[in-house]
Amino acid sequence: MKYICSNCGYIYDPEVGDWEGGFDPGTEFEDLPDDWTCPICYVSKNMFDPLD
Amino acid sequence: MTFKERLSQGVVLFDGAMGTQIHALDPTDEEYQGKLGCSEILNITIPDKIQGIHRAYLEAGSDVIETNTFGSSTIVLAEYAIADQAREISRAGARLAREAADEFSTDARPRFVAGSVGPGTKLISLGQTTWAQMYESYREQIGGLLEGAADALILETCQDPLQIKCAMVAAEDEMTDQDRRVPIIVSFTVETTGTLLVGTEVQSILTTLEPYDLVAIGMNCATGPENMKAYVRQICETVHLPVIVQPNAGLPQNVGGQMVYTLEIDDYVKAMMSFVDDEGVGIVGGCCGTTPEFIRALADALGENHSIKKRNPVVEPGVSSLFSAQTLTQEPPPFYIGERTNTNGSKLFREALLSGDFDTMMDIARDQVTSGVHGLDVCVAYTGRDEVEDMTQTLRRMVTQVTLPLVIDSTEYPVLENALQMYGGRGIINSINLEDGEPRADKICRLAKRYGAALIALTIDETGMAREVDHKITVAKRIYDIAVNRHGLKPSDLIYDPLTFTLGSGDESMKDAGIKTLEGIRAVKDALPGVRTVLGLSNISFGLNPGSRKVLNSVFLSRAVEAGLDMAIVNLSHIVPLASLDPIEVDLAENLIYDRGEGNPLFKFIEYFEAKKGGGSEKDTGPKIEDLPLEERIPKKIIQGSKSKVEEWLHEAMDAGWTPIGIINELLIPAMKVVGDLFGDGRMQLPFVLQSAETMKYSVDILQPYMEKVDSQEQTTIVLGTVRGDVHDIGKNLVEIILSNNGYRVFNLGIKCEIETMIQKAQEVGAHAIGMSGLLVKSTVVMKDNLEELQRRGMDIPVLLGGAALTPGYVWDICGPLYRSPVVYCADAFEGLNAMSLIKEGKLEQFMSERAEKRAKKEAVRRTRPPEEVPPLVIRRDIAIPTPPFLGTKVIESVRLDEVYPYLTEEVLFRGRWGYRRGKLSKEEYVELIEGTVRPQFEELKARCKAEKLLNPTLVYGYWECQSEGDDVILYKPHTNEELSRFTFPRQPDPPHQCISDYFYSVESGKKDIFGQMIVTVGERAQKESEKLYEGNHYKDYLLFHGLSVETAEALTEYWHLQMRKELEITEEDGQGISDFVVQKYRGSRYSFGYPACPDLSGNRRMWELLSAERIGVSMSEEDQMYPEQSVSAFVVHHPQAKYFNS
Repeated sequence: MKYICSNCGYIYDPEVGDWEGGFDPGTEFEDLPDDWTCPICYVSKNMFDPLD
Repeated sequence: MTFKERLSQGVVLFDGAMGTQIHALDPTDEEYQGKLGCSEILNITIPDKIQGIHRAYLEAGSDVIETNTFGSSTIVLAEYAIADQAREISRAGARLAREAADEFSTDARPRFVAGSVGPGTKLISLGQTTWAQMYESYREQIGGLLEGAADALILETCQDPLQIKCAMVAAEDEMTDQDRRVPIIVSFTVETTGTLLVGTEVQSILTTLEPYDLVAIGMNCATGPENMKAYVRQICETVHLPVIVQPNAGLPQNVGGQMVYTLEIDDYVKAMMSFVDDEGVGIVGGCCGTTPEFIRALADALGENHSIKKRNPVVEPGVSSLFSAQTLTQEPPPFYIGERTNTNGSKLFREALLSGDFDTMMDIARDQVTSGVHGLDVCVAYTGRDEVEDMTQTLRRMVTQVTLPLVIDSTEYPVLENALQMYGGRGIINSINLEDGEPRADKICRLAKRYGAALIALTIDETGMAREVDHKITVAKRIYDIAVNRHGLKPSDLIYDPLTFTLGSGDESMKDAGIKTLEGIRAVKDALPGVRTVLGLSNISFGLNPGSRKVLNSVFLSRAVEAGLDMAIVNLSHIVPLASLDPIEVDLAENLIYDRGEGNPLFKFIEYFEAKKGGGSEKDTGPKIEDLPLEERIPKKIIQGSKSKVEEWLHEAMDAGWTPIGIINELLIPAMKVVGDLFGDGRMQLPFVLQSAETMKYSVDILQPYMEKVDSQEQTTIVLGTVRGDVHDIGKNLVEIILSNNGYRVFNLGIKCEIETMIQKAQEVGAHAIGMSGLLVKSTVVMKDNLEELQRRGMDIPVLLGGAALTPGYVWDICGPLYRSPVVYCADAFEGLNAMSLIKEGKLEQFMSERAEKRAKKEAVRRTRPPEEVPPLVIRRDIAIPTPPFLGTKVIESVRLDEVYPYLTEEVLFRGRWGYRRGKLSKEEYVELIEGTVRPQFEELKARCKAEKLLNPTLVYGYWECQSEGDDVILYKPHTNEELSRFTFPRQPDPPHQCISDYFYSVESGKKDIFGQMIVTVGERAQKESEKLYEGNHYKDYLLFHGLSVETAEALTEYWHLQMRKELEITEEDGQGISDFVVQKYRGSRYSFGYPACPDLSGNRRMWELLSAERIGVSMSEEDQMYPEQSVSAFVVHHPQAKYFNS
């Protein structure tokens, strides 16, 4: 499921992953580590909402 | 051939923009008579030239030309001090068009004149003008157009349904006076939000317009044809009338201060032909940005008498509020009308009205909305009071606070008329009957027709209330004849109430009243096809005890629906589905209704429920709040965030022996804890939390004078501040609101707080904790320094840290070890509250060590690719340097909010700034929250900011020639090699060792590159307004307004960034919109100092100087931050490979 950053609007898409952070496509949001931050604005995971 | 006849011949072609053509004429000051911007005066001063524009369109092939009278109403012309010339100017405008049209008109190809009537500059639904004023204003404008021999009127660019109604009523009266009737077209504007400016959904405006005798309906302006598609389709599927569409030539772009529309003619024609051939649009034209060339191309494509595609629209009769619509037929039936906002139906409502307590009245309205009704019945009648005034005050609040359609309930004509003049949606008049004979019924039918309302009709005539079914039908038929045959209303406008009499009086003659009502429903619908029926349900059980009433009402409703009942006026919380009732009770009720069974059914019914006293087998939907004991009532008010009755109940509590401090500690604070729990659970969003906090503050303020001096040392205390160099305080202020309203003593030291100040205050007041907050990345470093200082000074109280740039990792691993006491990361105000609670109970240390253990057990970061595999960065050196339109700076004043609002990221505003997070809500619940609560709030706030000029977007921007030199970027004085200024950028210590300067051509290359900069602001008023709200303890309004103001500054930056990309002609990589721009799907990134790629804030000051931004009212603080807070500075790097990175 996609998740959206409530601080800057960036959308984490598991099918795309997060290249900069070192997470391949297929990585679900829940599996990202607790201290993963938004690649655009650097806020923490708890600022993300599910987008379904 | 008449205009109407022409419409049925084939597709009709209107003309294009008037404004653009006038602009091209470049009229002189004299020609404007000094009234720059008043296009309409040109009808008088340069009539030939204006006529020339009409001719150009006629030549291009327009069948219909619009007059140059968009703003020639009294209200608009008053802004130019020529209000009294409205009629004359309108007439002149119509005449010019008339002459031109007559010149071109032939039998085979007649040409027509449509009198243009604009929405004016004041929104009536927002109270910026009154019906009376607007009505007079339109009479003059429309009067002139009729006198000038217009063939039709087009009410266009409409933003507010109430304005449309006012214009239509004015038109009707003016046409009657002049004995000259012309057809009317209504064309509204759908903003990019999908609603009209005041928040009206498309279905709602269509429902509101449905009763009126128009000749065409459609939309114009705001966007190009592409963005209109969905709505055009919706309109074509839902209206019988011909549909008119006049788009802009795309979205406007501001190019160097000029509005430019960029849709290509070919694309325009393609889109319009698709509307015609695929959707069935019958009238086409163009709005802003279109020219005779556009019209000519479209005329060519259409040819002669292009046939109109047949449509099969489905029109469902309905009613509407200012915002949304409801169909009159509900599936499953019935349509529920809430009865509690009625002085005759609710003691609570009545008493609130008498004591002027509008808060309670609105609470009652809102309660019903959440109970699931489809509309509300509003009645404020009370002997001896001014009902018109009461209705005005009540409705004024209701129309913007309630999204449901209303039933206007009154026996007084002036009250009905006044109410309808305030109501933008389609309402229902309650009611009409023949008790006073036909003249009165005539009057009310006329009212219904004039204001497009539906009508509830009671079967009462001059001899009294009809009890027998035959009598009911006779009265019904008479009313039908008057309404439909005499006054031209439709059968679907009529809703018959065959009257409900109580079965609880024991009156023998009324035994079969229930049966007759049910029969009456069937009979009326049989005799008069197309009409609907309604009952005032509660009447059936009047006089019986509450428990039994629930049962009788529910059973009777069920049977009535079976008999064909369409609508019911009820208290929905007192209705239960039949299936959940005890069969014995259903039986008793039915025996009473159908007058059957052994013995006296009424006695049996009453007997049974006496024994069950106030009970009932149905699922209790909860007792009324007034019936709860005081200890439950007061906390409920906090949780609901409702202030009504609080003052009274607090005094009641004190009278009953509660001490003020007892009330606070045992009733109020636990209630706030529940609020916190609901928030933590994701069941309550932040703005609702703030409403609760406001109620808490309000309660504490009331209790304050009665409290003894409390030993302050007893209260757990915190000293709060935003750290040095940081001006952001909304987070900190939210913490103050939450902590202070949960019983903690808070000292808010404000922004840019030195650690010394915090230490001194903490020692002075014996604080139990220090709270540091800060938005900037830089502030996280300041916090670290502060902790070192606290350690050095031997301080030993815990520190709470909050800030957007903080992460748990940074706080635990970097900050924690620096200080002897716990350093707690708080993601939001409630985690701060939790921390304070632990401190109060002495459990913080334990909590922290448990947490530390959990963290240690956590697995290491599971990367799927080792970070060393970063490919080396090769920066292309063959990039063409864009040519800027100018070198130096330019101020762009007063950017229209309408241009900026579309760039708002709603997701960020709603979820991030306003705190409407998904939490534990289901997908449906969240959508409901957003559409039902948040979006109306959003629309209203946006409109208000625009109307009251609370936000004033202004900016200054510019381009400089530049070259890089190592890590520096040198800016040159225009057209010289003289250094004007330079920026030094940091280089990444790790691969690929990026630095912003690498993206510019170097001094060695010999090429001069381009550096763009901008500073934007929404103005000082925003900062002041924010502060005012906070000082006034309007927590929720503060949150909402502050959030919107900050996001509008961001939107303005996004918007202007796009302008600059267009000016530099580097938009080839642009994505589709905001969500793409967020992730930099474009060439030409913009950077702001303070962010990871260029963290040094002093760059801000340099930019501010280079742009001379004081010209737009922006000043710099010592710490290189801008005032007002709602300002953004950014520079633009055009190199395609320049993206964000962390240095």
